[in-house]
Amino acid sequence: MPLTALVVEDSPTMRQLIVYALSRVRGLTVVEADDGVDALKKLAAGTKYDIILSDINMPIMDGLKLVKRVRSDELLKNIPIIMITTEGADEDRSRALALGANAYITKPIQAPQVITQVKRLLNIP
Amino acid sequence: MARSDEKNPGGDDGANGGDEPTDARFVNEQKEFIQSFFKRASEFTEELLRENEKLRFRAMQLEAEVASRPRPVSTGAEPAAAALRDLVSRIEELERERAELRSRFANVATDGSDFERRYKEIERENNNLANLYVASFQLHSTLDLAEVRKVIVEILLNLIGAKVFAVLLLDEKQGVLRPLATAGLAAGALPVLRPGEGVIGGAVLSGRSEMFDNYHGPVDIERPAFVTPLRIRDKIVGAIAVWEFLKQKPGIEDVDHELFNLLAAHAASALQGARLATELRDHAPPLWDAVDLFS
Repeated sequence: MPLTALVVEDSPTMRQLIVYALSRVRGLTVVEADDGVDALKKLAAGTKYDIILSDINMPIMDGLKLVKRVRSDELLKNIPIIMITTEGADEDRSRALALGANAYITKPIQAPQVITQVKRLLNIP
Repeated sequence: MARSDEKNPGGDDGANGGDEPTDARFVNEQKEFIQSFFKRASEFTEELLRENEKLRFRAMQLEAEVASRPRPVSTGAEPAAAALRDLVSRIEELERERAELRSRFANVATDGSDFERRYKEIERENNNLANLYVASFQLHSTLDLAEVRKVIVEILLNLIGAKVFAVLLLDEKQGVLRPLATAGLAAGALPVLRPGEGVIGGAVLSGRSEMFDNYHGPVDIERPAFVTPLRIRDKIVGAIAVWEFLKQKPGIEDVDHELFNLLAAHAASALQGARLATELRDHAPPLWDAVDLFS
């Protein structure tokens, strides 16, 4: 069964790197969003998403607000969320987990890290 | 006795012609007896031969059965020493099998370990190539000066894992290095940097990268952890100086060197291209004019 991931990241460099990593997960389609608002639009558009990977620091709507919105939506609340954080952002990380994020990855990201976390949350062997 | 005499008064033996029927009967009886005797003897012989044949066949059957049966390890009838020899022989055979299986298992385990190591190496190589590809792609994906600067900063932050750094460009008129972008420190915190002076100026003058082992601070402006000159072809046009890397980076890895090399060779060119594009704006000649430049 095909799976779909939503990557929410304002930096095109990081986004491309995450998309590359996810391209290594067989059967996973990736949709990109620039920020939290763009992500919510895409989540409301009808496509069923199986996982969300989101940066925390983004313009317009940051990753923490996005997690809060997703977890409060009946239709979206069960989607696993991985937060992408920077070193020293321990408080953000704790807040993201408290709000309902399932895992986090610290920058600079490595493709194997991303693949492992995504496969774990999607129960892909 | 008298009666006998009456019948054979001369007292003669059977040769007398008068006793012929008796003799013939006797002969016949003898003959029949002999014939019967030989017939029975013949039958008995034949019976013996048949019985012998049956026994030989049965003996062959039994031999075949015995040969097809597994050899008993030990029976009550066998001497204890023979049974022990059988057991020792079987144990030795099993030991040999176990040793062979262990050897095969060890070989398979070694092969598996080699494959895993090789797989991890290839994974790392793939990851490194992806980082380089993304960095190169992003660096040349725009002609907007601010975008190029942002990409350089992102590569340093997100791909290399630099925490405190500065991108410096050489102002040839003033003879100083001026900060184009900084992270983790204010541009104003930097002293006046001149080619040939200090670690950064020395790298700019020599064109060689300098590396020290203070990857995780404390920050000493005079002594960055890593400096690499920026070039356009063979001309040095600036430098990248990193004073501190992120905690999760144990040191500068091969891929980081590759990324620094990529930035050294491409960052300045990308900036120069973006600067020219910005200056020309709408006055830039159409690209197809480039055809005339080749002819």
